[in-house]
Amino acid sequence: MARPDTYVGVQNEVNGGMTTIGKIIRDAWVFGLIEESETCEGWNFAGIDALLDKVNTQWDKYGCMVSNLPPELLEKHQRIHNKAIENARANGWCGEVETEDEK
Amino acid sequence: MAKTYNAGVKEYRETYWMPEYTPKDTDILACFKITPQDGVPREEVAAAVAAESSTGTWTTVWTDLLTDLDYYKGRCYAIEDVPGDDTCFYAFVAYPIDLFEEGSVVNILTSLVGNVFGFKALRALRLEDIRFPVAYVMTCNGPPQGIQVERDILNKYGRPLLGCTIKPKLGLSAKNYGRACYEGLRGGLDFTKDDENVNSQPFMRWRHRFDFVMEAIHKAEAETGERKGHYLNVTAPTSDEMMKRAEYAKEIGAPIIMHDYLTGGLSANTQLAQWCQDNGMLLHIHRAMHAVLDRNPHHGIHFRVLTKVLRLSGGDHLHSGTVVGKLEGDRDATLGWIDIMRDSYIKEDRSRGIFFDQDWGSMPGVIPVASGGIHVWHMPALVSIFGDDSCLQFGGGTLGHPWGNAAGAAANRVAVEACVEARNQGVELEKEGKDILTKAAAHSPELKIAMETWKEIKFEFDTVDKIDVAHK
Amino acid sequence: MSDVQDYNSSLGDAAQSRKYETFSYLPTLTPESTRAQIQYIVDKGWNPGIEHTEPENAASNYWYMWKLPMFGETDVDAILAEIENCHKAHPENHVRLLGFDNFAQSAGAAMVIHRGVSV
Repeated sequence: MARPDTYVGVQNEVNGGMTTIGKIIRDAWVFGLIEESETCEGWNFAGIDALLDKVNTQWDKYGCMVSNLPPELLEKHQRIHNKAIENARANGWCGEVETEDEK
Repeated sequence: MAKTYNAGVKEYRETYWMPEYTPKDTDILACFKITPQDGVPREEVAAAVAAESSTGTWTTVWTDLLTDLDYYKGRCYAIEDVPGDDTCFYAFVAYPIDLFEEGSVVNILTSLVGNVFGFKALRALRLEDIRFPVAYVMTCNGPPQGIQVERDILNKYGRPLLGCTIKPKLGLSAKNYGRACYEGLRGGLDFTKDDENVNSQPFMRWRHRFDFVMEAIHKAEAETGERKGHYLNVTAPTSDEMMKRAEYAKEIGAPIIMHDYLTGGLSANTQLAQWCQDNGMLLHIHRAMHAVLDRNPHHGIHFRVLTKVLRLSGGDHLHSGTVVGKLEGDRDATLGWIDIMRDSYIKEDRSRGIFFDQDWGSMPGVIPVASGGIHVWHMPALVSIFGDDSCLQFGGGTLGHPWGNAAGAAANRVAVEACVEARNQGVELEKEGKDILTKAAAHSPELKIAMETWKEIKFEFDTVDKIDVAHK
Repeated sequence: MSDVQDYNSSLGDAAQSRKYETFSYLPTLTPESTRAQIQYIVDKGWNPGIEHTEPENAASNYWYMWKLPMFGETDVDAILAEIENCHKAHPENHVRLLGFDNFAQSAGAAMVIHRGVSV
């Protein structure tokens, strides 16, 4: 299958959404960089890359650690990410998927 | 009285099978597992192996008489059954030290395994172990820095080191790659690692990667106040190119580089290790291609030999396997070669596949690197089995954290510190592992989520083997 | 309106960001935990050593030695007392305890007991 040149959208992701790009989008929702309704479907990869830069700038304020987030952002983070984890599990994702291809 | 010349094919065992021979302290000793062709007597095959890996040819030649064959020949001095397998047997061969160039693992391997493995009288042949006399060990440069100096350079004491291979394997641009390193280091890892497939592909040339990664390291160090490193892969098509990359790594201030010693080659590796020693650089060694040699139990070279060869050639870290991820049968052998990496004197122990006493003199040790399919639930067992002088690498176990790299790194760092604290207090890690992690997770949301992401590991074995700390 | 704002970069937020190696990712050791770690050093046969530094110099290899290493000291209370003495004399500094291993010629353990305020 040819590699797609636009993003499939976080709702159509593999692994129930537990991918690098999926995590970037969820963080972008947490930091209010895009609306929570924005799935990024149809975005090209330059756009995703630009979003990653913005997300990184936000994380730099908090030392990349969730524990350093202020209360409003922390609450938002927990809500968005807990839902994503539940969703991923329902779609068959688990930690073993992440480690099973390693030698 | 001078020997007279008798032309013709002789039986090997007349010359090379010497059961009455007592190996000298200066001899290099080898243990081969021999699977002979049907109908060939053991002594004959064993003697042939001794001959073909030293001075022999298939027939006597007159030039034999120009040399002192008796002095230089390899001699098979013992034959033993292999417990539980009567298709093969062990043969022990002694080689006089003068057969070998000083400081040259290349020469050792060329001699011992260079010609004999294709020999027709053998169905299969495996080199199980080599005993290097201290006299030979002292001619080799060994690990460039060694375990103690590494700890001093990094200012890290009293705990295992933590690392992570950056994935996905191929396709990240250099800038994104650097960011992934930064987050892992910033979150609490000591090292991040180039995947061994990453050399200098068109999507990410090595120089760009080195530059972005160094920036990531400096930023992570400034923020955490701790020393960090990334194993920059200098494996290259030629050793000139390898040296160029190593020099550049030094120029930009990298503390550690990485080399694939089997695919890169032992000549290149020894050169690189000597350079690292002269330039204060740490050297992480990856073992790509080892399974081609060590996987078949009847044919090839056992990994414990590859371990010894690496310690002599030079490396500060070597991948060893994780023990916790393996079947029972492999576990003992792994514990054996981990001792071979780190200790200064290892006693013969057939239960762990160690065929000879091995004295390393004052040669520094190599840090075993446990990498492959491990995650936070393995931490208590890993700390218990490997001890502090080890490097635990969590690839998927870091990058697969639902919150991202930094969270994955923090979860692993909190887990390892909690296990070390508990171990120091005398808590039994294998029994209380879950409690230790659960208590630590109360202060670390990152660890809590990691524990929910991966499945708890139950330990089937009652007593987890502990590797002896420092044979004195 | 400009997107650029003044923000609290974590390079500047040292109190949260700076670590000091072993156990710095755990909460500050309790008195019982500290005693247990000292006992571990003593049981291993290592020589305890106490060092301290101003937080801004924590990155250096060399911290100030508090007196001399307590060669052969096995009394946990005595070691704890010296740690406290160092802390009283230098209340702003990080104070760390090491266990020197003569055989390995390295430190088998090293941990910050009193955490100063990082800069």
